Amino acid sequence: MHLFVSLAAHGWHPAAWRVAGRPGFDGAKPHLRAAAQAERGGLDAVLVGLPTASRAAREAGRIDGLRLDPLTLLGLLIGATERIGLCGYWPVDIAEPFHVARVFATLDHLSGGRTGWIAGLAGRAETEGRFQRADLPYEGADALARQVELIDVARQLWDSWEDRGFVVDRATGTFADSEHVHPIEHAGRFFTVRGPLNVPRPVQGQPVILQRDVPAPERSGLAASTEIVLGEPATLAEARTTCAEWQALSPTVRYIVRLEVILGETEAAATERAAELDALAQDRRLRFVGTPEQLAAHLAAWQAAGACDGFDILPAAMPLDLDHLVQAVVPLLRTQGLRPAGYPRRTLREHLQLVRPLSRFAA
Amino acid sequence: MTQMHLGVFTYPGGHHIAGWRHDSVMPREILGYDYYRRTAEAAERGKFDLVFVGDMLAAREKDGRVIAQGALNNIDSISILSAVAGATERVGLVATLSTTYNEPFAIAERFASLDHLSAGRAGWNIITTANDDAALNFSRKSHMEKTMRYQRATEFVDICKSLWDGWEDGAIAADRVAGTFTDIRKIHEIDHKGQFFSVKGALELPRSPQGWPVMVQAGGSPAGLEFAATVAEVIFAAQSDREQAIKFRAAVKQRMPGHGRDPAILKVLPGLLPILGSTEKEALEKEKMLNELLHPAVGIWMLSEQMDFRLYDYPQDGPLPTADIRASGGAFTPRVVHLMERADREGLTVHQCGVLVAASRSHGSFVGTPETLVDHMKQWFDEGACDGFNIMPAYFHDEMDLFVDQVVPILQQRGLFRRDYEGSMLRHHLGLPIPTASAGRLAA
Repeated sequence: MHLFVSLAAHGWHPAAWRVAGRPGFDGAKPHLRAAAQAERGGLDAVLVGLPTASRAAREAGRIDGLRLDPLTLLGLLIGATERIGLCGYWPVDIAEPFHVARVFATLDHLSGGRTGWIAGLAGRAETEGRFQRADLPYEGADALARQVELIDVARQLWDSWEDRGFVVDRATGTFADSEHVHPIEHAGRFFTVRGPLNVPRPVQGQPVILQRDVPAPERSGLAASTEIVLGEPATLAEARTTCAEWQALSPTVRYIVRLEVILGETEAAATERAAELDALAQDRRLRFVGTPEQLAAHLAAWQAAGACDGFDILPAAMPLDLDHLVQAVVPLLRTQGLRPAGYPRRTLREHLQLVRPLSRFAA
Repeated sequence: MTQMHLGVFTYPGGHHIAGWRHDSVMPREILGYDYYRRTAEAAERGKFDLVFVGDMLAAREKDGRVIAQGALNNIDSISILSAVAGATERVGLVATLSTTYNEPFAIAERFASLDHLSAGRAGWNIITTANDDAALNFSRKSHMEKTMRYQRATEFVDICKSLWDGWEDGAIAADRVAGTFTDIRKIHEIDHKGQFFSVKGALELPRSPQGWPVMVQAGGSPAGLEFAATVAEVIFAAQSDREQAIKFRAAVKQRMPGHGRDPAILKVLPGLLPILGSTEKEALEKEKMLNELLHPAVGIWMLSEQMDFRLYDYPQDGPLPTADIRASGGAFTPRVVHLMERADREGLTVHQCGVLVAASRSHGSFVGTPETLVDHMKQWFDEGACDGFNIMPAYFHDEMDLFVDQVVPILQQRGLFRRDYEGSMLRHHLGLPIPTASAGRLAA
């Protein structure tokens, strides 16, 4: 079972900031603590930067809608962790593939191969006003086509240095083998990019690519452009259908269910916590309320039912719900053989048992 | 007494283009976190003002093939500096990002974030990108013309400042009882419509500790000079000649009052590549050893790139063809002009010029002992050529350690450099004012 945690300073319940942690803004400290705790629990990765609410809700001032730049935060977490995967949200709406490829290649080198790119479309409501690009499609088929092309160009750029392109042989003075570093000469509908990248091939070959789930008609278009799909199904039945659909489109795609959790040592305590939070603000997310034992059983049951390949846990309130997850839920999953003890390997691809892609330019 | 300011310019391998070949360098490790952490920690041990990282948006290549013998340019600056932010507490973190191929909202958010997570240590080296190869990586046919680039940069920076000023102090109410997280009356959207950008909205972050990151600038052309006078608090200058450096610094300072700015705040930090030995002879041997590691092809390539003039078919041992180069009508940067003047004056060959450019990438260099280096630095400082230096070690980490352990103590003994940090933020180290929230709106 794959296990991620999505970071949010106070938690994912919209009222979390009113009960959990320190009341105001505490910089990156909550994220640093959470990443360290997640690593103690041997989780596969932390996810950084996915919005906790819509822009309108964030800007209304009633929730903690603060947003540190996800890539900058990811950089900080590299120095503070050693094994856990680090995935950052960089929406593609106005992005340039060369920037994305350069930054993620850098982060992947700095982290020793632990990065993933959450490459979604943020959409008009998130982007409007901030970026003036009248030439760019916000939504619909054109936006999807641009997204697919952008991800493809980024991957070409990561491949532009074959592994054997980075020679650094002191004796002969050969830094790069120019036979194995290639211009990509991409000329597509939305992008014209010559390449090569000016960062050698990432440790993982290519950082792992994640996406949030999209409406059913768009899935086939995205299947080749993602490795991990983050879904928010309303029911077990919906999860099973969606998971099967993705697997039919691409046998290597992993379907991950995002699940908010409110935990307590007893069911009554958890229910009470949920009631306390719900009294302050309405929570519309798919969630689980109960004890760590019940959550472990719930996760195992969903996975056994073919609903998903793992979970992205959204702690309702920090640090309590993450602490419960790491201290009580993970040990139970280990007992059942669903989670490894610690980190047997180094890179995020290895944690997830995803194949390291060969460069398309490698003969 | 006024003291010097010091930065260190980190680089994969080292600033001597063949530095990565030195025995002490582990070249497979130059892209890893520990490589950059070590440099930042050494800088902090030496009480440096800042760590500096450059930016380049195209590979080093010739005729479509990557240069085989030259090291890489810097990998992404913000990634490096956010990673080392957690390993350091005081040293400033200056990242270079281009205004030509970015969007102001994203860059304002990125620097506000770096300033928050470093507790007030961020600086932005504001550049324009003139490289045709970069244009081809960003779906454009050629790079933007220089005047346009600087107009775009000026508007870009104005927007960033307005965004950074959008949140008043106290905008985070954090009133748990009333359920008010932010006091939205204290958050001001900008509504900018200009020649290059339309930006409406506010950042989703409170004002960062320094208000604005320290504004750094690196260009030396006339357009760059005017831009520096408008925005720069620190200039990273490529000056290898003391007289020229004095003129340059005076020229920027002279222009500042015209933009309503106090020239006293400006800190000019020329790049300086020191090659040190315990004796003069030892230093010269080290220089010779490094230059022997330099592949001639790299020198000719760097020279051709800088001059935008193909030197590959000229005899390497013949004089630099300055007449042909001038006749090519290129828009030469000041550093190229200086080099051509020097080549004429000293009768330098193509190869010698290639070595000069490749060895220090046309920044200043100095070969000698720690004592004579301090004399050299003091002379530049006393004569008004600079306010300090951006140190460019020939290779990492030995040359950086040597500077920190042997040069810094002499600077301190002679009262030229701080013995310890007095403040926690980069603006404190540099003696710069911390802008108040209204400053940007008044300026805009």
